Amino acid sequence: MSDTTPRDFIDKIDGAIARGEAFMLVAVLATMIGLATLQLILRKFFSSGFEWADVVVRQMVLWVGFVGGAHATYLGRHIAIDAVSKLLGPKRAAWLRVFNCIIAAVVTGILLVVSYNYVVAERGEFFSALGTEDSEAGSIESWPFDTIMPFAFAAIVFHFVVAAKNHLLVAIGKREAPAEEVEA
Amino acid sequence: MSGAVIGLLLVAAVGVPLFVVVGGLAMLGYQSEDIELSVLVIEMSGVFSEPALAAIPQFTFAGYLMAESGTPNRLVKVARASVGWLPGGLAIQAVIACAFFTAFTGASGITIIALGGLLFPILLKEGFPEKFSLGLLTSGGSLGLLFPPSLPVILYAIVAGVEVDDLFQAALVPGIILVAFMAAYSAFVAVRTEEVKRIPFEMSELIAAIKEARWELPLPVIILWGIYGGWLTVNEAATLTVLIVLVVECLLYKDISLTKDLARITTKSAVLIGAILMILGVAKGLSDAMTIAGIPDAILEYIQSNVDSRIGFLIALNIFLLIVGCLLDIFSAIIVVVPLILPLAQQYGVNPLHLGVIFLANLEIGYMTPPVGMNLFLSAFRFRRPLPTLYLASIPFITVLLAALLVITYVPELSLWFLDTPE
Repeated sequence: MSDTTPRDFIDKIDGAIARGEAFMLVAVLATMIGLATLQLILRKFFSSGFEWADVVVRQMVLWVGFVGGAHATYLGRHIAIDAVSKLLGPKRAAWLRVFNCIIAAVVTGILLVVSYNYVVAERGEFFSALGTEDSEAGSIESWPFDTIMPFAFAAIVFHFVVAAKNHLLVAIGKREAPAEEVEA
Repeated sequence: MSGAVIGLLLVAAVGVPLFVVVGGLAMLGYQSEDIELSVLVIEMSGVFSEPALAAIPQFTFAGYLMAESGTPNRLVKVARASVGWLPGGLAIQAVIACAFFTAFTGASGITIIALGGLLFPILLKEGFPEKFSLGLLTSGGSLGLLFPPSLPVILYAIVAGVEVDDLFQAALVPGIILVAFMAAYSAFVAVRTEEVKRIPFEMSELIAAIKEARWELPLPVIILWGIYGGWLTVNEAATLTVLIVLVVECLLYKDISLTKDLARITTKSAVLIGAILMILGVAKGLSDAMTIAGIPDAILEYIQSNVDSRIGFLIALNIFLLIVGCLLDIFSAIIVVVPLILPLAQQYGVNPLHLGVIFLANLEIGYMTPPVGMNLFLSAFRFRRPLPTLYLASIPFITVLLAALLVITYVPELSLWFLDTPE
C-alpha cells in the first residue's frame, strides 16, 4: 500500500502486522545465514560442526517460507494468473479482487484451523511423552518451530480480509484504485 | 466434489493466488479419500525439512543483492567488450547477460526487471528493431534456467530423488545449446538488418570492464568448481555465494548500504521466497493426495495403452509440458507434475536426469508462451507495451528455442554424456 492511500484503523493494524513480519524476516534470514556460515567455516576449516545447527537452519526455512508468505499476502505479491483483471476496467477489476480475496480468506481460514489443531496435538504428544521412554533426550523437537504455521495463516487470513475490504472501497467508488506497481 | 474442483480451477483463472487454489485442491483430495486434513499441514512442514531446500532462500537473497547493486551494469559492460564485435554481438551480449542473471536468480522474473531496463535502450540505440529487442528480452528472462545455481534445477532434483550435482551436470550442455540457438538467431537478424552497428573489439576496453567486475566474475567459477568438484554441497555453495555477494556489494563496491538498503532487500527477497515456498508446501500436499487417489497409476495405464514408442512418448511429453509451462509457475509444476511423469518416463526408458533436462527446458519455453507465460506479463510491465505486441515479438524466439528443445529431447547423449552407461 502506498503512503498516499487513506488508511483507517484496520489498515493501521494491518500495516503494524506487516512491519512485524518484515522485522521477523530480517531476523530469521540473518540467523539462518549466520548459522549456515558458522557451519561452513567449522566444516571446511575444523572438520567439525553442530548437528543442531543444521536442524535449526532447516526450521528457519519453514519460518522464512511462512512469514514471507504472510508478507507476500500483505503486498499482494503471491503468484497468480492475473490476466483477467488486467482486461477489466478499474471498478470491475476491484469487484473481481474482492471475490478472489474472500475465496482466499476462506481457504486459508480452513488451513489456519487445521494447522492450529495440528500444533496443539503435537505439543500435547510431546508433553505426555516427557519423562517416558518415548522422549528422546537432546534431540530438537519440531513442534515449537511448527507453531509459526497457525500464526502465519492467521496473518494471511487477516491480510486477505483487509485487502477484500480495500478492494470493496475501490469497487463502490469510496477509494481510488492504487497505481499498479512494477516489481518482480 | 468435482464441482468444487472445477470451481477452484475457475477461480485460479481469474486471479486467486495459486497457493490457495493448490491448497484447496489438496484438501478436497484428502477429504475424498477420508484422510484427515492435518496430513496437508504435516506434508507442508515436511517439505521444508528437505536438506537441499535451504539453498533456495540463500540463492534468492544473493540474487536480489546483485539485482539491486551495480552488478547488471558491470556485467553488461564485460559482455559488450567481449562479444560486442561479433555480428549481432550486442544481442549476444544481452543473451549472455540474461542467462548469467537468471541462473543466479532462478527464473523469478527478476532478470527482465533488473536487466531489461538496462538492455532495451542499448539494443534500440544500436539499431536493433524494437520487436526483435522486446522478443529477445522477454525470452531472455528465463534463459539460463538450466545453469547452476538455478533454483528449479535444485527443486527438481529434490522432488525426483536424483543428485543435484548430477542434474546440474546433465543440464550444462543443453543449457549451452539453448543459449547458442538464441545467439545464432540474434546474429542472423543482425546481419540482415542494415541499421545494426558493430562495435570494434578493443582490448583496453575489455581489460577495463573485467577489472571493474573483478570481484563478481569469479563467482560462477567458484560455484561451478565447488559443486562439480565435490568440494561444496549445494547448501554450502549457497551460503558461500551469499557471503561473497555481501562482502563484494556492501564492502568492496559499496553499492548497497549495510544500514539503509540491506533490511529492505532482505524483506523484498523473503517475499519472493515466501511466495515460492508456500506454493511448494501445498503442492506437496496435492501431489500426495493424487498419489493416494491412484491418479499416477491411472495416467500410466492410459498412456501405456495409447502410446507404444519412446519417441511417441517424448513428443506427447513435450506438448504436455509446454501447456503446463504456460499455465503453472515452474515451482508448483515441478512438485505437482514430476511425480506424475516420473514413473511414465521410467516405463519408456527415459533416464530421470534426461527427463529433468527436458522438463526444465520445456518450462523455460513455457514461461514465454502466449497467452499467459509469466515473462510476457513482466515485459508488458517493464517495457510498457501491450500484451499482443509481446506475443508477436516472442514468437520467432519461441520457434528457435523449440528447435533447440527438439535437439535436447531426441539426443539424450547431450545430457547423459558424463554417465558410464548413458541410458
